[in-house]
Amino acid sequence: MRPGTVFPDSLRFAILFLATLLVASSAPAANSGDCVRGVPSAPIKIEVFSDFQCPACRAFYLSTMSIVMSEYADAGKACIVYREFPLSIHNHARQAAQFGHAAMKVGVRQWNQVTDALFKAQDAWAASGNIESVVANVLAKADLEALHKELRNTAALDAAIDADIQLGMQRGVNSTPTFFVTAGGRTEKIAAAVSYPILKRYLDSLLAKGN
Amino acid sequence: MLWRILQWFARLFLGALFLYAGYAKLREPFLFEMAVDSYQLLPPWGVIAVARTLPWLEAALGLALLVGWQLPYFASFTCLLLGFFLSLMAISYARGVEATCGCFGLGEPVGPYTLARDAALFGVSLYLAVRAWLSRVPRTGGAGSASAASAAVETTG
Repeated sequence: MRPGTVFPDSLRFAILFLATLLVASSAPAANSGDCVRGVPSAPIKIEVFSDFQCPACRAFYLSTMSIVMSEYADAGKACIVYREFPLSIHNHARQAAQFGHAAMKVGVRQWNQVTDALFKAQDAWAASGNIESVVANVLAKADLEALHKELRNTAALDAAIDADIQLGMQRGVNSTPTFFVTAGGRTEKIAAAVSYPILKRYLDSLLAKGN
Repeated sequence: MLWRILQWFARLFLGALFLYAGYAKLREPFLFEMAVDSYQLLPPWGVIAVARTLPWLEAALGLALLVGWQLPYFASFTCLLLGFFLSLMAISYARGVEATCGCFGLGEPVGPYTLARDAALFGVSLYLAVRAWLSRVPRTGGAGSASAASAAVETTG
């Protein structure tokens, strides 16, 4: 051991490696407000304020946004951000939002799986309140365990949801789904569920402008 | 005299409003398409057709009202159009459809405020249409028919 050093080189390397792993594993948590699909440098950013228990949000996600994700986000043309905006009129919406945020902390892939499942089975869990069984059906065992670990930190999840709601209210969101499309430094607010063919025309027009 | 001033004010107000509404939609045609689509009543081709023609119609209507040309007809058409918009919005709201008004741009969901505003505009247009028809009657005939028309106005008023 050289003078002035506390750990041998091999131990320092191991600590550095573990620290890198720790940071990497917590990256989605730090970026929970960032793209769930696509890259941040994409010319278009679509930021959706959504409620898992809202039927219009389900239709918008399954019929429009899922296609936008594959056609635009995966092609590097758009960055999709989903924010939780659970409405008080929906009795299980906040719990579902906790699952959404927890899934995001586990990873983007897991968020996509959980979001798909929650919207597809909305009628079932909205009636029974049994969100756990819906999520358990789609996640791998390790992912489910990681999700449960995140779900135990209720305070952090509630804080993240409250931050989303606060942000939405600051931006004039008072119904769901409401989404903001940012391109070329300009942001448009759309407070409605729009069908894919019509949204596609708008996105294409933005891309054609060279945004 | 007061009625004439009110009619004049209603005509200019609605004319300017429709001209602005048409302009706002023509400026952002794709955003207006999304507003029309949000009512979930038309297939995509229908949405595009309406979104591409309605702004021109509104602008033309606004100009006609501002100029005052064929006022009874254009005021009546404005009233019918606003009544149609109001019904559409009320039905969408009652159905629980999260529609965006699209009246003067985007980002304004259909709700009590937009419904009340459209109802007020409908009231103004109804007043203008009725006044336009009533004030038209004396001008169409001679002295005899004018007095007959005045009598008719008195009985209806």
